[in-house]
Amino acid sequence: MSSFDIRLQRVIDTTPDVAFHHWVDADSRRSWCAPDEGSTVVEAETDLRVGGSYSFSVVGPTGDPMYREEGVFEVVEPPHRLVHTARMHLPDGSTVETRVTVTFEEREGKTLLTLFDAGYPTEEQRDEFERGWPDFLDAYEHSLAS
Amino acid sequence: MVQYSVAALDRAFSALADPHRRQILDRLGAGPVSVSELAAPLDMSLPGVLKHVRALEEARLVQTHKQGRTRWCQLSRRPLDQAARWIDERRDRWERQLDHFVRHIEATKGTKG
Repeated sequence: MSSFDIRLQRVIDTTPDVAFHHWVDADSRRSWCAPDEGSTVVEAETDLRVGGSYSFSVVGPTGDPMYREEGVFEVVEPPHRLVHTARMHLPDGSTVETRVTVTFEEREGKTLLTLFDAGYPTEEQRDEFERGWPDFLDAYEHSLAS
Repeated sequence: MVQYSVAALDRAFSALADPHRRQILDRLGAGPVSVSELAAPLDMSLPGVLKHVRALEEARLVQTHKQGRTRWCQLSRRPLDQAARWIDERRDRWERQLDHFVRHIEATKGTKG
């Protein structure tokens, strides 16, 4: 069965060590995993070890659940590489499961972040999530700077 | 007679004048749907579907909101109700006129018969 992938890259103005932990630590995720206006991360947990799991839940302005994501770490190599499964629970009760690989490489004092989000069942779904990812990356960068 | 916003009716009818957009409205009748789910049965690319969704949004027939990495669409009933009422009112009036006409013919027949 064929599947569809997303690959995005950004240069982040910090060291790989800071970039890695800001990406995955639960407290940091509270600051950037809810990029939509009025939305809030209400729960975030990270057990950073191979076989450990993470999760976070986001609610909208009125406190209604918006989405929830959870996964299990498969590779944990701070500060350069992270691989985990990602199951996203969508508002209609459906789920999408992909495998996310994030690498952090030093580039002249900054960090090249590469996101590889693989295994979308349909091209349409991949395209939709590909449009949504940049808001998360913007929020991630913004929260690093503040 | 109910007052209509001419601009709102124009927008609604012109948005309805496309089979893909009517298909999208059919689909949304069952509840909110993500744009990728809308695209799948339409055999259309995501940008193509988004173009139609935007036209429906401008006509206020559909509302969309982003939820994390996905975008969701839902029906907005009011403009559709207004368009339906506009048609209903005219149909009622034409039917009443037809009734008058039929009664007039029958009455005329009666005087001659």
